[in-house]
Amino acid sequence: MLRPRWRKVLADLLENKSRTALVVASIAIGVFAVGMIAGTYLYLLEDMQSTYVGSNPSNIRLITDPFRSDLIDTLGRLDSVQAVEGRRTVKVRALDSEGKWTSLELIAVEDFSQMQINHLLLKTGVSTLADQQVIMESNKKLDRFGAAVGDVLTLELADGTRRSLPVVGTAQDQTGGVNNMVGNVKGYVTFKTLEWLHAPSSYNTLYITVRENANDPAHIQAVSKEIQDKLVKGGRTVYREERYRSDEHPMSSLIQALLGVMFFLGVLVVFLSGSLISNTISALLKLQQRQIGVMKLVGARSKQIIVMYIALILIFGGAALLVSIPLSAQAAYALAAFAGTMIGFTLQGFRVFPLVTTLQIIIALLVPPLAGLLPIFRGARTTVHQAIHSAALSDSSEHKSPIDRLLENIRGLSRPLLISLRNTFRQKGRLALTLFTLTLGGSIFIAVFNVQEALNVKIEQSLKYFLADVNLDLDRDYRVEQIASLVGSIPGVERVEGWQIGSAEILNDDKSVAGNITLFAPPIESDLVEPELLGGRWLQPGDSNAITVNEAYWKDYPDLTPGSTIRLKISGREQDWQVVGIFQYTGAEDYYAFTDYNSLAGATKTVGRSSTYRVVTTSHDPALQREIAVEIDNLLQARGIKVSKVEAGSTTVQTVTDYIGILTAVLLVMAVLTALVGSIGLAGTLGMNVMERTREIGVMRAIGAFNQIIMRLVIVEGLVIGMLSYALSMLLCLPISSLLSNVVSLAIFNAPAQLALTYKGFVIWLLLVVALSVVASMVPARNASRMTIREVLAYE
Amino acid sequence: MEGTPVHSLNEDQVAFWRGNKVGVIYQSFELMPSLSLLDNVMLPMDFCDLYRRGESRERAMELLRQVELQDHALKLPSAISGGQQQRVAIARALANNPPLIIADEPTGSLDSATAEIIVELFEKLVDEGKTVILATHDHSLDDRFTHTLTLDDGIVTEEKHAGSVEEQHA
Repeated sequence: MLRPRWRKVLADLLENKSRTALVVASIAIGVFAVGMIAGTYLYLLEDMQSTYVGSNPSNIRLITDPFRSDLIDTLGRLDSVQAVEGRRTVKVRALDSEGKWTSLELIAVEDFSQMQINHLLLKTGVSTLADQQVIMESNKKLDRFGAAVGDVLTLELADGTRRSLPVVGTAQDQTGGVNNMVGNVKGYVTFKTLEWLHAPSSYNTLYITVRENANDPAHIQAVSKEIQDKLVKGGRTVYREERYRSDEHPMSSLIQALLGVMFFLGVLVVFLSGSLISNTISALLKLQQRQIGVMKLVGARSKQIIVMYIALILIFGGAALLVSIPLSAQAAYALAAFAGTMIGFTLQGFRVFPLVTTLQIIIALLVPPLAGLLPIFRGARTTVHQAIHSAALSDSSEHKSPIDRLLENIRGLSRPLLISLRNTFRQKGRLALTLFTLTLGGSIFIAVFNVQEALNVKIEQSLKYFLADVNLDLDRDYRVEQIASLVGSIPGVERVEGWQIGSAEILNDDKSVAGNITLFAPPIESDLVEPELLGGRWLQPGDSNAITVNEAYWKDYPDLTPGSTIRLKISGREQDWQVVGIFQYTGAEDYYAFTDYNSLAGATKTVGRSSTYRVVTTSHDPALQREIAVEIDNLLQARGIKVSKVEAGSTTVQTVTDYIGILTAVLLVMAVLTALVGSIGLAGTLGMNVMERTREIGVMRAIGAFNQIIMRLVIVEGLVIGMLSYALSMLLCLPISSLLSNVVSLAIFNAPAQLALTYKGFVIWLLLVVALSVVASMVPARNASRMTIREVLAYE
Repeated sequence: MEGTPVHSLNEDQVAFWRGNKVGVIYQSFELMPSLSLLDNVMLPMDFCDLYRRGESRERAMELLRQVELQDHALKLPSAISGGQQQRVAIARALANNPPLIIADEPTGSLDSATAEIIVELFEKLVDEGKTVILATHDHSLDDRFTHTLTLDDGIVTEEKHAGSVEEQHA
């Protein structure tokens, strides 16, 4: 049998079920968000890292000239090297599920079931890979081929030969990181299969693990340099170098940054629900002032009353926990699994993390009581006298703020509208908290769209250097004149540019290799590059051996200025190049440089020839771009020219934008959660306002206000609050957008973003806040209009 | 009172002392709307640490029986009449067996027949040895008190003991 005081607490909970539901829901949303994100974080930390570490990731990956197994043996004998493996990557084209030719990367491995480095995790099919079979890499992109075990892929080789390759399995690359999301679909084959596909069966990629300090970037770099020096001395060129730590997934810093942002939003939601608690409790205490007086009258001390109301809040928190713990555990698993398919790792099963549950319990049972503490202390201090004599129809006319006076002086509005306006500002503390909640929710909502825009701007920034409508890669160099006149004959093609793309080594003064650089060389008069210069100038006709470099150089060469010279080794020849300008790229750490076609073709002794072409079409709409890409493909194939890739510019953009879209979708979920708590706050506030004014509404009805007028009073009040918060959101979203854009951009591009604004967020939130305000005021408004005069005047 | 310097107690100490020593009854009853009549009567025992599982319930039922409301014990205050609510308020005032009962216009909201029942209840309490202080505008009750003070705008204008009249002029 419960004590009477606890029965009163229970009765208060059940007395107003919609109020209880609103409060529980708002705490639950916050606790859910925190639990979901913390859970996802732990899944990633444990499973992403452990699958990565378990796959024995390579510390160094080098792409170099073709080599045989004797090089692997030689490098394997180095003291600093633990293991070396060689593979070869070949690009072919395969028919995708839509019947279009799509690039496919085939990676030849020595023995699929005995791989030492970068183990693959078999998902379906067999682990023994025979000749003339393929095991496809299992990730999101595989959907493009719709290939499952038992299907047969149709390939077209560089020389036009067609081959059928049965899929015998799918496997996950657990080290891939970002390459799993963008780039080509991959498949694994044997070296025999490679020969059968008319590709050379030598290696071209080295996978190396270091013997010790595999988690020390400096040591890995030193070993890599040692190996590269050895390769260069043997007359080889290193085309690409990648270095990884053994204990940290390449994507983990990005994931952690994103989860950090989301966690921050989750904590924010918790505080927003805290402000709702504070509002609800102070309204409840105000409503029960007389009851508190009576309790004191019959002997209750302040402490007993405080404990009763804190118990009430703890029950709210407990109920929220019951709802949110199982839901957030499920959501964390789903979110982590989604990240797993995107990044390429496998979850080790559903589980509940005690740490996360503890965190949720602490938040749910600590934040709400803290939020309610002030109103409870204030309420419990009420004396019997104050409580029993609290007036029913009150006008606190002695405390008039400037807002009140302003509202009293407004003329020319209808009476009911004026009442709504003044009602809005009657409970200023409550209004402030409601506005705070709704404004934060709204600004984060708007900000998420701005973040997306900022990322898109960032992408466009990088695409400014690649503006072509169709990008065409051939299997080898052809005469530019020949290709230009062939492709130029296609209706809709305005002109064709032959580019050169090459790689070079930057040499230090002592002739050691300082780094690799990718060189782009458009014709000097090309307008397919719209550079954003940070210093110096762009390339001009008349330049020779002049280059512009991206901002990444400044990190390693802070003294670099326009006019400096750098020594490059291209195709085995060393040459000085003059830096004329520095351009803003994405902020990524890789080195890029632009020079003119003639300079690079001169250095590589391929003047007049090119394998990379940029096509400009008469109109730039994506449909025409794709159409022309297909026509170019058909025409060149018919002429016996091997196309390794032809892609509409819009397709390239699409791939990257899709990726950004996923990120923003996840952020948007958080924004919706904050907006939800905001509108729950609004509904709660209006409900409280109506309840407190029960008597007043009765009086209005007694003097002739009919249902519609009373409903409209409440709805207009809701809209006024909604619009006020919207105005504030428009301002607050600016710093939030800037902050979020920077954090996300730093995580993705390793470079801060510029603030970008889009109308989308503003418009959608405007519509949403109007709808939310109306919906949130509907229930209180109906309640108000349903009250009969007798009911409200008897109300106490 | 009874050796306690009430004026020197703080707010909480006063509340605890009042809960034990004074039963207060208002014109507007002031029952807890969300609690049953039985719980309303038990509430003072709970707050004054006199609550005993089972015993308190019996005592509360006994008090409700004294005011003839035992059959309604589990109803909410809103389900009974004003006179019945005032009887519950009296039962609640008696919950901790205080020596002093203070009633502020206890019959002010009631019709005369119901008021009579309430006054009879008070007379019974006086017979049991309790002190009842009652504030009222109802002069028809004048001859039922042992001691009457007449207040006019806060000033005592007349003091009367049963059987004698003393005029006082301020």
